[in-house]
Amino acid sequence: MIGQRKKLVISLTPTSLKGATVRGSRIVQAERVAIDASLWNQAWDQNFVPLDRHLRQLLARFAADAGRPEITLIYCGSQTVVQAHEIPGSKDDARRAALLKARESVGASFITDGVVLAKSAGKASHWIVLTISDRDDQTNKLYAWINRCGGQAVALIPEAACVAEAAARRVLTSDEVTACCFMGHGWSAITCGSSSGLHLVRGFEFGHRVISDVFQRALDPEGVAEDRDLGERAMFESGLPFKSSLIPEDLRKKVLPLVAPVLQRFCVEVKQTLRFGMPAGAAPSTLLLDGPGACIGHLPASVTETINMHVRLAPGLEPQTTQEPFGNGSTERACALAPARGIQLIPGVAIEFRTTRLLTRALVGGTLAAGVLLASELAYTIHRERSLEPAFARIAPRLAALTREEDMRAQIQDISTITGAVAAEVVAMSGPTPDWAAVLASIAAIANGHIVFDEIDAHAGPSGGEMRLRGACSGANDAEVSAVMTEMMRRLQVDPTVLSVEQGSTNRELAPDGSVIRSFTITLSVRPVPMPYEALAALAEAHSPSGEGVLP
Amino acid sequence: MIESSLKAVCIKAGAAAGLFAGAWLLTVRPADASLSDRTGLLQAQSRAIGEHADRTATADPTAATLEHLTAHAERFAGRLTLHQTDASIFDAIGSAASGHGVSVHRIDPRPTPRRSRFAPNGGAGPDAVGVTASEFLIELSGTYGAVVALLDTFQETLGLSRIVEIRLAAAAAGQVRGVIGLAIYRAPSDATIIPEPDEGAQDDT
Repeated sequence: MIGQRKKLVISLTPTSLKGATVRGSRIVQAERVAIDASLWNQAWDQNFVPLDRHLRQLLARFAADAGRPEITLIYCGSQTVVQAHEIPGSKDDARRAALLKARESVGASFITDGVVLAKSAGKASHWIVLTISDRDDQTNKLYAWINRCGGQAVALIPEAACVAEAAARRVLTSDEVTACCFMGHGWSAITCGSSSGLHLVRGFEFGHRVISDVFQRALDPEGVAEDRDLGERAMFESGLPFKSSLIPEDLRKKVLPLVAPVLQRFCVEVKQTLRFGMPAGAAPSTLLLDGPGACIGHLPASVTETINMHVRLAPGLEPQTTQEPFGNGSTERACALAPARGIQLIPGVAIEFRTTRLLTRALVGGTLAAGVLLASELAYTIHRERSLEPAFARIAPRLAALTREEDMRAQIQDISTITGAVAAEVVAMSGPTPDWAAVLASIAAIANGHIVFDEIDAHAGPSGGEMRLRGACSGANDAEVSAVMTEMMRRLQVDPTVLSVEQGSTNRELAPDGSVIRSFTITLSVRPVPMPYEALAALAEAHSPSGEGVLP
Repeated sequence: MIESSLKAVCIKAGAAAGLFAGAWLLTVRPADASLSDRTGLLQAQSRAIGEHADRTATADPTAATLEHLTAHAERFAGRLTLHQTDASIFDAIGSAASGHGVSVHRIDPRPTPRRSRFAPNGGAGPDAVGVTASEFLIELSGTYGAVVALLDTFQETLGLSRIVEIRLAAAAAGQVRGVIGLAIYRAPSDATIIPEPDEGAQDDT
């Protein structure tokens, strides 16, 4: 029932508060705080407030540096209901059915838990299920008490459950059918069975406290003694008065009449249980006494005569240690070191607290997970964006070149548009332009000793230029003059700057020396030449962004 | 009791969900959008670079074209804005003529300059160019060769000019005398003939 990790187990009885830290199957530390029995009587009615000091004192010994320790509480319930069920079916079905039956029988004001103890030895395919019920308000008081004093109650275990499970474990380890009575502080349990299954299990409210109370009353009839453990100590030291020679005679006389009916009641419980719980003739002849109550001196011998069975102590029981907190043979030790989870009553308020805590933890976990996911996604996105930087860096030079070229193209476009348009307008304003200097140079080349130009009149026109020449050609005779004139006309006609030549009027005269002088007029149509910036102007007309093939 | 606890936890869970939704909207979503933008930008730039590589494999180098065009345009603009006043033109004519041994007797501006209709942006604003054609009649004398050389020089010294009229007559001692009609095309020095490069173009990418 106690896991491998360190836990704190506290046992509450009317006379003491015992605590132990348990790790696995080992008691690490055990402490005991005595409780005045008078406080116990008020405790249930006052929500255990009178015991706050004791619990805080005990917790201080264990959990000075552990915050709010998780606590499993073993307690003596005054209204605990113990039931054993023999139910067919699977193990889980049997447990569920037993819980249903138990809850139905005790009502809604009880909380119930159950555990499957073993297979039934009497009926095939049946399971023996132990259920324990206790009032919800009572368990709530205990839960609140522990939490109020700085602990954290994780399970409440009635003593009845502890003694019943311990008694069952005892007989289930035996190969032969064995009967066992585990006597605790306030509860006892009788089981009968073997490793093949259980015949019966029964718990009843009778513990060694009943006997020790007899001793207390015998020693302190008025109830004025401060030592409330007086009777219990005398009981374990002296034993039952029937066979003991250690008990003082005066005490024997006081105790004997008081303890006889008490012991008789115990014997009747045992005898009737075995008689009605076992098939006729199947009851074992030996009864094992276990638990702290078994360590009362002369109890086996005293019981033997009454129940007519061999009674002996359970093997391994060490009477000298049962009175120590969580000592060997004690009820709380048997419960704390139980190999499997047993019965645990969990109050409704604890379930609510656990549910809320679980949901809160789930919420916190979910929030953290969502935060981690969010941060991861953000980091991954940023990482991916940063991983693009090398690619940007790789293309940066080529991109810069592209940008520069785009800029240049834009500039070409702008120059073509703006400058080209201005140039086009200049060309349009000026019109065709002849290369007058070239024409005049050609004329100068033609002029020689026979030809003289007297007047040159030229002007630019819409189709180029027109130049009118007036001059005279001289020669020894008409033939020579004609030849010179013809040569002049030929040279003008082949001149690249001249488009056409038109000869005008001529007039022949004789010079005083007899030579012939022929005056003439010639009209030249002069070829226009492109203006220097016509190519630039053509850019605007062509709307060419690049100007390719247009510029000279 | 359990229901109230559940309700409280549910409210907290809802608040936490809202908080994370808000945090997601404020952090992850902008980062994701930024990543998408950067990825798209990288793809677009890579595509543009690829297309540019294909284009430059077949086209002439743009830089050489721009350099050539700019030089051409600058020469054009320089000649168009070379002379801002008539006096400057007179000086240039006189200087050129004396350089060739030609005597300039008189320079007469024609009364009304012709004005260009061209003006970018509809003729308004700082980009308006306003090209003006001014005509001058130059009465001169000199040897024939010197006059011809002077006419050839006008193309360089007078900016954008055009000889519209030539009247020459032989004079005594191998000299010629006559009148040259000259049109000179001018623009104000502050006219935008060559557009300024766009400084911010490179930053935009």
